[in-house]
Amino acid sequence: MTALILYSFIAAGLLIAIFLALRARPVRPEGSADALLGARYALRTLQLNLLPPELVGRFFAREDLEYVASATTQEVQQQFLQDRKRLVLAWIEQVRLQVISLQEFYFGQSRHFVQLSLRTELALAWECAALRMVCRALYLLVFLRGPYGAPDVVGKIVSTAGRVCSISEQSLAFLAPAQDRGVVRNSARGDAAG
Amino acid sequence: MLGLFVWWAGIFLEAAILLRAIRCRIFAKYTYFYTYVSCILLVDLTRFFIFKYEAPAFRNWYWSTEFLSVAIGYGVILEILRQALAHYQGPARFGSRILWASFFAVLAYVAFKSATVTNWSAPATGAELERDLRTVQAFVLAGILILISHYRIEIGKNLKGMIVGYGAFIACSVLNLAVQAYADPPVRQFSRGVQSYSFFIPLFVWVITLWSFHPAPAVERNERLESDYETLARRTRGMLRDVRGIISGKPRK
Repeated sequence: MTALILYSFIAAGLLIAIFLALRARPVRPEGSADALLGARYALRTLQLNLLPPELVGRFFAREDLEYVASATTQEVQQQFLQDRKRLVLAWIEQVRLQVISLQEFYFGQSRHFVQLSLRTELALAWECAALRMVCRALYLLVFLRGPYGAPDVVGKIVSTAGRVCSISEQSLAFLAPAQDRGVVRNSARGDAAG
Repeated sequence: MLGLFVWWAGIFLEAAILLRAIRCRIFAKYTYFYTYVSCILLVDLTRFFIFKYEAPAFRNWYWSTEFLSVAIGYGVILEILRQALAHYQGPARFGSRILWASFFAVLAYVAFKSATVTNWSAPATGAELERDLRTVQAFVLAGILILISHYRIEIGKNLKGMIVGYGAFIACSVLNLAVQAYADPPVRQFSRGVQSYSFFIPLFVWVITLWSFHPAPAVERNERLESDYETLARRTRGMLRDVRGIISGKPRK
């Protein structure tokens, strides 16, 4: 009976692989401004706007909650928790979307290289898949238990996303934002304003 | 009577696929695939005439040709690999590695079986061998399909037909052969009936999807400057709206 179940899984797995291969959306044309800008934007947003430790630490800082709890009424505390939860959920969703964007660009580019490294490709595919799963899990945890319910997962998500960025950066060096954060921020604002 | 009708219907569909290929001049474009269909047609015709005129020799002939059809089935997988990854040499190298690894695995497995099986019986050992070889094919095809979906490779209608037809046939065969080995007798009987009709799945799919030539979508690597400019402008406007949304505290959904 166990063997029969095993073979059934193999057959089902093949059918799922067929389904996935047929439903795959094509990536944006390689080398187009759309793809390049999308990836550059994703990398910059992740590295500078979403993942700096001080920012993430601030989102999940208990001091804020303790201060609000000590200085305000129950209603204000509830409002604070709701707002913080919304903020954290939006942050998680943004991280997930930027990771998907980066992943799409990376694999859209890398498929044209002859000397692909199996190890790098597998590492990046695994990191992206793991990160997206962690994002989903964290989203669920925050949704169910609030913003202060899953502090350990946050550390994991930040470190994994950091690894994805550094692997992508090695392959897409030309997309990486400048080292000087202030300059990049100013120039981004300048671009937007201009 | 129904069995003979099914037999002839299968031969008719195989011949129709080949005739359309010759008429639309796509035989040369999918050589491995049409070689496979030609071999299958030949196998079916010889089986039919041996069954009709040399019934005692049918069983041996059936099992010999069954292994032949499993072996040349790799032609379809090779065609899928060749067509889907033709413009993507890196992923194609991964696909070739999967194919070679499976080839050596099959050789090792067949050598092991020949050395260990002492009481060979065509229906039992043959079915077991076929099931395991089809399972290897399932893994190889799944590996190639994972590459296709992972790298978001666009495939044409002809190739989609090959994938759906042959993939569904392999999945059906693996399941049927496993049921015949491990399930209860009534289920086995039902499974045998299903197996004799399962080859109609790929034949119908191939008749429809390979009726005419549909080339794989072109790989767009160099876009025209005008369209790039439009994209650039569109994306920049989008980013500006995002920044405005962040400043005003209403991020765009």
